[in-house]
Amino acid sequence: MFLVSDDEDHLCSWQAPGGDRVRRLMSVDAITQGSRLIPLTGKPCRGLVLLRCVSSLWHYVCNPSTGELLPVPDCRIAEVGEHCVSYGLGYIPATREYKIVRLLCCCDNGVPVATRCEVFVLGASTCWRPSAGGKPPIYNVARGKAAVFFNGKLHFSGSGGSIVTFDVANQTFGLLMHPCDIPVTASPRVSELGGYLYVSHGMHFSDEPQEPFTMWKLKDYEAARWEKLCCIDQSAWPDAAKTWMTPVEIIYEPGSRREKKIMFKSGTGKVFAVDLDVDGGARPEILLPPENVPAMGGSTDFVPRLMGMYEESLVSVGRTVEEIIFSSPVSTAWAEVLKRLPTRSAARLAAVCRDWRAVIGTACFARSHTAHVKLRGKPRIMFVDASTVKFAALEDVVAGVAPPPLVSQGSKFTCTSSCHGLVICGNATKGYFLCNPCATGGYRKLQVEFDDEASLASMDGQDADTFFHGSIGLGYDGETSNHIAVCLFYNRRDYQMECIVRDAQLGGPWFATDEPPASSAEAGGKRAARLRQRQAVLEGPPRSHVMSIVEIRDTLCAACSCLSSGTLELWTMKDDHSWSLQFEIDLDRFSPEYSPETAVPLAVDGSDGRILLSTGRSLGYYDPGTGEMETIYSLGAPRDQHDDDKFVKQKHTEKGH
Amino acid sequence: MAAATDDAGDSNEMIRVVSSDGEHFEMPEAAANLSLVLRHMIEDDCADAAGIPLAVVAAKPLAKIVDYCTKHAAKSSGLTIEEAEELKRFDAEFIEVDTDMLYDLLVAADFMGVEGLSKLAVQRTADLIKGKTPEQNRETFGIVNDFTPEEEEEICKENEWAFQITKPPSRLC
Repeated sequence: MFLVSDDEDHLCSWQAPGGDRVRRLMSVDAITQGSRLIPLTGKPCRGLVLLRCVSSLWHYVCNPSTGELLPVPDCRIAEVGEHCVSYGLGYIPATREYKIVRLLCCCDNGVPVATRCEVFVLGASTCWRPSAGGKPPIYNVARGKAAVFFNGKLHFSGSGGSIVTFDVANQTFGLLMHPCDIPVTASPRVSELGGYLYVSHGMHFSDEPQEPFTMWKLKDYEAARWEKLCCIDQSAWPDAAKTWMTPVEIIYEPGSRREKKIMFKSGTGKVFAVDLDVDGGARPEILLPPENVPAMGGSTDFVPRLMGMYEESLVSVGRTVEEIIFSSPVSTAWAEVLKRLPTRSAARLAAVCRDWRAVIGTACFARSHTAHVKLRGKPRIMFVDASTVKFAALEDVVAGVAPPPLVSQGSKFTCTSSCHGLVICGNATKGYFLCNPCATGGYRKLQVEFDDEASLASMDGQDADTFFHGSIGLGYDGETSNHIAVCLFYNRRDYQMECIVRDAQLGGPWFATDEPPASSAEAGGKRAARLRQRQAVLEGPPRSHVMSIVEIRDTLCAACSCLSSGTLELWTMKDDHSWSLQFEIDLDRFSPEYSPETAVPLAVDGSDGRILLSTGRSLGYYDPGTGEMETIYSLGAPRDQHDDDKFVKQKHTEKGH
Repeated sequence: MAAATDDAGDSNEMIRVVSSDGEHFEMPEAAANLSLVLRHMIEDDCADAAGIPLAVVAAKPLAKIVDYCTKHAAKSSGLTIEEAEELKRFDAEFIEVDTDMLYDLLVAADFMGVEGLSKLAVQRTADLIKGKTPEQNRETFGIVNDFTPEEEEEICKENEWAFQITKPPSRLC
């Protein structure tokens, strides 16, 4: 049975040979978000398979039969690069443990200089740990090939004349020599078929000289005695069958253990078999042409379709890392303490010990830390400098340590409101950045990449410059703990409003949505762009002039200015989407410093309920109880009529990372 | 039906609890009710003469918790200003303990769901942690540094920003 991901984000199974139907097993839409999830391991380990997401490089352990999917925590893999690492999944019957093992190989100009081995125990580990039993041999591990679990050991294929083995129970390394006919520079493919280990060599790409495909069987494991099984001339094969071909099954002669047929999968999603008794295997028989399977796109082009094997099983993938961490009453108690500390201190304390690091690193800690600061704490006010995109705290500006970063009236600098600790800010010339203002190192550049060339071409220069201005928002999906960037724009073909979304942290392509996807749209219903999208659908409050929409304490607020009465009205939206007038702020009394035309509410102080208002030149707390205004920072009255400096104001809630 | 449920409101009823190391303690039902875990046990009729076993709470912190609950239960409703002040003083003195005991209280209060004590211990611990380096915190709480040198280096790299005052984003310069 084969496992393959189709074009609609499902994992599917197919019975070979003879199966004519691809059966959908489970949806993986939530994690792939448009990119593909590929099976890494050839054979499942007691039903469990390792999957990799192509765009994010995250790994998952999956039981496709039960639909369980467990993310493996991984922060370093992007930095290491997928090509220098090989993963494997093994099982220890004595302890009933599943271990994911990875060999990381550092190369200098193609020459391996160091190898590291790390282990992650399913259901027990909270992070990757270096293997306990000695250092691995320096090894040039094969690109992207997963290790094969056989005889209690993981077999990592690579070049250099041998296979590195890792005993998953006692964590020791060993070497298994290749058959001597294989060149030292080659890294043959290792497979386990029918209870034996095989290596095969002779990968074919159309631009390389043809070399026969040769396969050896390991007759005696201890003595490393290989026996050549076959040597197939592929010159008569169709091209599509030759690329990335991997043996997946041996079909024996009836009543004996003599290999008769070898079944292969190719990189293009074809499954075929060769009969060793007929012309030495020169005539492949296609068992599953992808064009027969509509779910797989029916494409005959070269689309890498990496298939894995599938076996039915009830084995569980185990608890998530967060479940493991917070199952201990000690960790729960520490989390309570640590969430009371400021962001910077909490991040620093990850260096205390493994337990603390594990707690601080979880998404649920970051979430509760942010929520704690937001509910209990005073809003932190940060200024952002439009030319350098650096942040400065209000306290530093007031103390004169940092100059107030100003922008002129016509500036196209944009900064979204703070969403679970992050903001998107920038302008067309500097680019747009996803930032954590509390962690000045945390910048990630956002880029607009369109598949739709036509829509880009139809945009004139100015449009491209101001593409994000005022139309980008940041949302948070509480279910997946992901930040999502949302952008609204009018296309030039028919002036329809379009909405594109993207995972803000992982990157990847932008997606057009017909309507905002349920998960991101419901993510608190928070961010400016998304709110505007909803405004198109939702009735606004019963006022003609809605100045701004903000999220205050998890509630949607609309600020409406009433010029006739000189007041600023704050409306909040209730659960049934109806609006109620929450506050009426009489700004006439604070004129000209504050006026209904300029003042925008930013936040509510969690400790005393006062509303933070900003005009771009003055920041003040308004107390709805007493009607008092306390100005905490002001640029003063304009020096002359040309003085149109303003600060980019953005309140900010803290976040762990 | 056990007789205990009939007069559940009667605070004269004594509840027995047993620490992880087998010591028995008694406190009035009103005091036990301050713990979410104990309250649920009492509501489910699990409080009998043998006592409620608390598998992760040792005798030393349990004695303190019994003290805390008894004091707070006696003064739970209709506090005068003086009584509230006195309770505040009691709390402040109560939490002046060594870090071992503080740690035990922190975990036990969280486990037993004694909200007031949990808050008290959490705040006290957070105050102790504040402004200290990781090394000083390890010393204060007797935590062993279990990182390998490679891991330490990695953590330093990851959290570089947290150890510096300001650092311009490199990609912008």
